[in-house]
Amino acid sequence: MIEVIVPQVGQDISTAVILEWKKKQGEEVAKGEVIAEVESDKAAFEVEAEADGVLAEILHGEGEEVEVFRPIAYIRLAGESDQTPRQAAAEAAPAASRRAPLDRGTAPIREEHRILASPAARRLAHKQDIDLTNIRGTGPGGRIILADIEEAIAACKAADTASTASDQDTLVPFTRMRQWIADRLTSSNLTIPHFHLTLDVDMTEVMAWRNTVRRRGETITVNDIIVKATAMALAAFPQMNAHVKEDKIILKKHVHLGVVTSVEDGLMVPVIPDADKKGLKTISAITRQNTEAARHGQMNLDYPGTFTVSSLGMFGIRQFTPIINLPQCAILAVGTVEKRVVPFKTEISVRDMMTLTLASDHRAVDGVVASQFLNKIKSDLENLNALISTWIQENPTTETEGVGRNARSDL
Amino acid sequence: MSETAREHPAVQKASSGNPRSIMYREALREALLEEMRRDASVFLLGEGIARRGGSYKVTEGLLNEFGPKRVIDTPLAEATFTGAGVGAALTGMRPVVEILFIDFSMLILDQIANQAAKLQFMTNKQCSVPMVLRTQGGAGNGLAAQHSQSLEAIFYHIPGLHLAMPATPYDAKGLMKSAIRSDFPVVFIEHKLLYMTEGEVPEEEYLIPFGEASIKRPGNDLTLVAWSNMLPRSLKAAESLAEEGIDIEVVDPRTLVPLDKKTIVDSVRKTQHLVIVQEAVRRGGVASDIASYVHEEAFDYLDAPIEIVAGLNTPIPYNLSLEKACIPQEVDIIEAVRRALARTV
Repeated sequence: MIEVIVPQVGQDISTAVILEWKKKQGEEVAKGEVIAEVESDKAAFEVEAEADGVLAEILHGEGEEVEVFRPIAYIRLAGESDQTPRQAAAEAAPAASRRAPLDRGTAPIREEHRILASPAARRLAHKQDIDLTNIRGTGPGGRIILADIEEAIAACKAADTASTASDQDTLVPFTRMRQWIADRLTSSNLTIPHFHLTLDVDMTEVMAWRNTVRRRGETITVNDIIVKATAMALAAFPQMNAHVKEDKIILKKHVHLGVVTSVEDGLMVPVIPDADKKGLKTISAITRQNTEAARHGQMNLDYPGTFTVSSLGMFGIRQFTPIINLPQCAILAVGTVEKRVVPFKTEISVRDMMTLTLASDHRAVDGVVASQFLNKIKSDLENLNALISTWIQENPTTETEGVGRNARSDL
Repeated sequence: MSETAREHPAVQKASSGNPRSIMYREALREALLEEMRRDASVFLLGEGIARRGGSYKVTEGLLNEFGPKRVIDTPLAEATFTGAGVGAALTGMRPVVEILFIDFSMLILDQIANQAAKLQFMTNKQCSVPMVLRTQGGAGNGLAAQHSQSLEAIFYHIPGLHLAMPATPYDAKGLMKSAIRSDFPVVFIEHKLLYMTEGEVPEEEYLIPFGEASIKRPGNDLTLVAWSNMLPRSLKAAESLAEEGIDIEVVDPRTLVPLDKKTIVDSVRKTQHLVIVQEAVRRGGVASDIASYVHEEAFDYLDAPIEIVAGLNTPIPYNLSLEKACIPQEVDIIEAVRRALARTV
């Protein structure tokens, strides 16, 4: 029995997400044959079988994040027993120890995340409030040593003096996050044939309803409502809820909606899992938690996003053209809600208007489907019936039901 | 060998007014001579020390001055004459017992470990054993496994004993005089390759207190701790590395018990890097113990794992090339320093 290991591609890579299993459990594999496709921060790559045999056990499913150098499956060589090492170990271990809260088996995984730094380096970094994650270690085995911290301090000081000296340019080296953003977006912009569709949405009803709900003490934001409407549209248009590979489209079963969240010197895209099945209140709560966690540098990586919503409305931006978040096939840019003079019925009227821009990957999606998708969002926002009915499901009391009715009568 | 500012003040007085260079064995002889003249209770016991003057000539001429009652040739019966020394010390004498090779001290462990080391504690100081056990150790010149060992760790391990391992003539004399005056039983380990080395020793009397390390070379990049014959080797390594701009501080603890932890820890806090060199085998050695103290007291100052350069865990071979391979050489020390200061770029 041999292990199938996730290779490390690129220096800083510690984990990768399994995108797809090319072989099923029990299927025969040949040496050199691609058996899985995985994706790290930086790139997608293929995992090949190291020997001829049978794919005896798959340890991690698609979408799961795994440590590099760790086994994700076992290949049984000809003449070997059916039992994989993991199964054998599970049988051998008494049930109690398997349930022990401090499972020794998980300890080394945490260990691999450790930043290697000498005590002296840690001490100085702590004193100077320097984040070790931004320092490249030059000691043995990549250990961060004192000189690395001293050089970082010197570089900071040099940057400081450079910025105070009026005719000096300031050099800001990429942080790890900046590098990640740079690599991902460059790759997306270079490889994906983007096309953009723009549509205005009348938000007057949404704003009125939101205000009524707010008066009831609920903290639903316009963004939460847009996220919910988008999730509903994604459920109706599975072509838009997909990952795109070189020669194939993977229609994702779940709607894991990513919301771009700005953090210090960068951005993260925390995910609302199964957003189409969640009510507005839940979406709102998860979004708040996600934002808070992201600002502390934390992100739940259990659910790889299937679609992304990006909003610059709070900065008064009317419209912008976003770059698709690989390997997804589309991204929605949300502009500000503003009063505009527009034709309304047969009148000239002042309405709350918002402009949505959808960027799509033309390899996977064509203009018609993208237009239908965008119009579905528009109609759900302009005609609140569907949204309100999810709200009622989530708040099944007459009083909250009344909120919806009142809102409509307010119009 | 240049002495540093931390040295005993007497050395500066001497080198400015009355420079004099003598051998390690001569410095030891002076210490014995001066103490025997000063204190009639001091006497010498050992094999071939009287008429022959000692295998390394440390006791040469002492028989003539002090006579056969104070400079006593013994039979080849280490346990017996060491026991006699312990007994004499209990009566108020200050015997200096010589064991020709430290290897033979395995014969006297009961006298030293169970009697000399314990008695002042077991009698609430009603008696003490102010005895010096002079002996010499270390490899050199192909004397093979039974005449080449560095066994300081055995005595270091036993509470109740003091332990000196001087590396220079100056330290040898100052420490021997303190050892003779000490009320503790002192194990005084010389090195067979050091007897003929020379160094400045003042003519004026001076004492070196136990438990005071000596910074033999000040530096900022890395601390090298070495004693006995590993000191000159470490100083040579430091000088080679200085040509590359690596600035090494060399610390000689001089006495391993009591150990001057403060000087070592202060030095490591300054340089952030530590290499300890011992001739003794690595396993269960004093170097490991010093490393553990530094971990305890200067952990947050360490920028690299502590390196220990030590003898191989093997009996010393007779063959000269193999003997050399078993004992830390200058090149081994240099390599350890490079590992401790290594950067991947």
